[in-house]
Amino acid sequence: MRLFMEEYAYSNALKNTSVRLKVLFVLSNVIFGVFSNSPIVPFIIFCTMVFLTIVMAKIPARDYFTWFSIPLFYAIPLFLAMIFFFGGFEPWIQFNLLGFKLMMYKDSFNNALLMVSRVLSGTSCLLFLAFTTPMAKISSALKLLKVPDIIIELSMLIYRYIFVVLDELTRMELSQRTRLGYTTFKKSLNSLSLLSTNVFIRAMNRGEKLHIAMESRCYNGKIELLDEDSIHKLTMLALITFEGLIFMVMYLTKDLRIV
Amino acid sequence: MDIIKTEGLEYAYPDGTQALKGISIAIEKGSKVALVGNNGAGKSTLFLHFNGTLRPTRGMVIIEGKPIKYDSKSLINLRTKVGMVFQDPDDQIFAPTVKQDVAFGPLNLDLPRDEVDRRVKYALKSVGMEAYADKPPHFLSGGQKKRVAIAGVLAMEPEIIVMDEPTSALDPQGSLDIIEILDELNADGKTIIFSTHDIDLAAMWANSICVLNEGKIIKHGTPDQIFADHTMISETGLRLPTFVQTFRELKVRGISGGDSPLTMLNFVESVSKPFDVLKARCTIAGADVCAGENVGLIMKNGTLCTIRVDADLNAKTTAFGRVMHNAKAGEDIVVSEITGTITPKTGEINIVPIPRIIEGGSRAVDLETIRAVIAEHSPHKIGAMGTSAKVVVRKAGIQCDFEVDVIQSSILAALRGLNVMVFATGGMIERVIQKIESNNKHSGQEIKFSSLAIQASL
Ligand SMILES: Nc1ncnc2c1ncn2[C@@H]1O[C@H](COP(=O)(O)OP(=O)(O)O)[C@@H](O)[C@H]1O
Ligand SMILES: [Mg+2]
Repeated sequence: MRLFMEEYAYSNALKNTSVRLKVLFVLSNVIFGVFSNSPIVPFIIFCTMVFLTIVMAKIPARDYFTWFSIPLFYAIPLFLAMIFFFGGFEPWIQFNLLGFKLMMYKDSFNNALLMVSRVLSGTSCLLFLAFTTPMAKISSALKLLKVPDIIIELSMLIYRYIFVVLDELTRMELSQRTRLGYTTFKKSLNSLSLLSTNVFIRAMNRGEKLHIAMESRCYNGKIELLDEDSIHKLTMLALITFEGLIFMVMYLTKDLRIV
Repeated sequence: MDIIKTEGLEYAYPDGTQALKGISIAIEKGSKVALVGNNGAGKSTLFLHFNGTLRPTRGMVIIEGKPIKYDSKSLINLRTKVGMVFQDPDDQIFAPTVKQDVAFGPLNLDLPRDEVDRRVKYALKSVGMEAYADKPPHFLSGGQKKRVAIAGVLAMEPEIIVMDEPTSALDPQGSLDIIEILDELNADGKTIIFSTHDIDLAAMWANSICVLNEGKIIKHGTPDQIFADHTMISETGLRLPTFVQTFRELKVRGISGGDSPLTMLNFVESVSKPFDVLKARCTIAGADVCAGENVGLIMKNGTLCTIRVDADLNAKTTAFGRVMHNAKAGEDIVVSEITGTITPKTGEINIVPIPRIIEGGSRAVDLETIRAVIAEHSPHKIGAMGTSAKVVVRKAGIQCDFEVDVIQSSILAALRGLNVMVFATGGMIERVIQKIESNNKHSGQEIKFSSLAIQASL
């Protein structure tokens, strides 16, 4: 079993960049993107992120934009709705569509543009992280964010065993299917309940066995993991410069309106 | 010296199942022990006693002369000494990447960081998985996961490695790879104990076998001793190794003689003794003939057959007279009747030592030298045993004929008159020489062998 962007996360050109820097970068960009008053800043962030993901990390553009189309699916209708139906104070353009009078307001257009640019910047930030960072390295970033150890350890174990249990689940389901377990609604219910009980019991079992195996390797209650996350000075410098610039642009464009 | 000993070990699971019923065994240091028994015999339960996971209800486990103590400090000590590889690698590998998983044990020992790094590197190299260090476990195949599980245990540098069913759920190639890794570890002085219900594997590989049935030890001895006891085998619901079965069938028909064989080599020996046919094969391959020459053979019944020898010194029948068998190019020919005296000629085995991974492995070897050695001796067959030997051969772009079961295949080839060159890693050379010598003693056919030291070029 493999998970969507996993493959790229382990093989992209930016996989060795410090994950702590990446998280810091993404986090500050999300914050700047959300708090900016003009669509300029989110738009710059969006362009930067797309550039970093496609050009620097060498993620195939097709796969990238397939993922990107999901938020656009919501954002574009919302954009149109905001422009035409939310109303506003400063009328801007008016036109007739099949006998309906449609009125566009300046302020609602600005708001809609800001909303869309935020969606774009936020999505591009998260996709950047998802496409370039292996799950395995997230733990060091979580540590940086002072997440309690117990949660980090749990998330790591869950991540590992999702695949194991999912695999078991598919096999069990297939075996039920081949014995016609899902032919009627009633049978489906029955099979499904059996399946879920069984998966639960097996997961418990695995937990117990894993504990024994870990103790055999001198587990003492705390999972110590090899963390390799070296911060490159140049990358750090670039990050600070970029965030400084973004902050400046944000300040300069705080009263800017597009229309 | 006995490295592990148990005395009157009894264990009952909390639900009352009496899994072990008084087990006393002694395992010698440096040996390879196979624990065979059917499902539910108690193999896994017994293993869990070796590293103190389960505590016997009666009796005790003695490691290196000292009974196991069950306080947490002694247990940690014990577990660095006894490494346990579980049957299902998914029960053991939990970290997000291979490297992190292998590092788990050493990190628990509070070792300094560079020592952890060294051990991880060594362990991954020993199982040939260094290229997968940063991969998540669910990207790996079953055999690769198994290797990672072994690496995780190796990184603790234990003296004893206990493996529960190491080859179950693996394909034949995967099993042989694991077996070779274990062989290499054993050559490095580690004691290996594994459970299996693959009788052929136990017969071929272990130097002592312990039969377990319903929580009791039925018999413990060398493979010959175990498989000579046919009634015990059938009573415990096990079966005999394929070779032994085949041999018995041939023996009752008066075709083969001698003792019960445990390997292909023994088997071929026992079958070929009363027969000239296979010797004819030796002669053809080993006589002083050149490729392209015709060799005539006179059969017992007076017919004549001509055989053309191809580049591999295998004979191809082009024939006038009666051709007994049409062999394809590269195949051995079979001639069923022979007259006259035939003196079989055996080939030579040249052993080329390759440094172990800890001694620099493939990097300590100059590939040009390897190619030159091969060009100089132009062996008919080439074999490689051990991880770094295989890496060297692959790097030098040499086509290997034997990669598994190398010693036996080489001796069989030499008996057919072919010259063999074996690249062997570190401690495995001793084993090759031992095997050849014992074969020379038993079969009466002298195989010459020599060890070619190549210069290390660091
Ligand atoms: N956790 C357990 N609880 C109760 N009984 C068990 C447990 N594990 C194994 N057994 C029982 O102990 C006996 C020995 O099992 P095991 O050591 O797993 O055998 P093997 O590994 O040789 O197949 C079996 O009868 C089995 O049913
Ligand atoms: Mg078992």
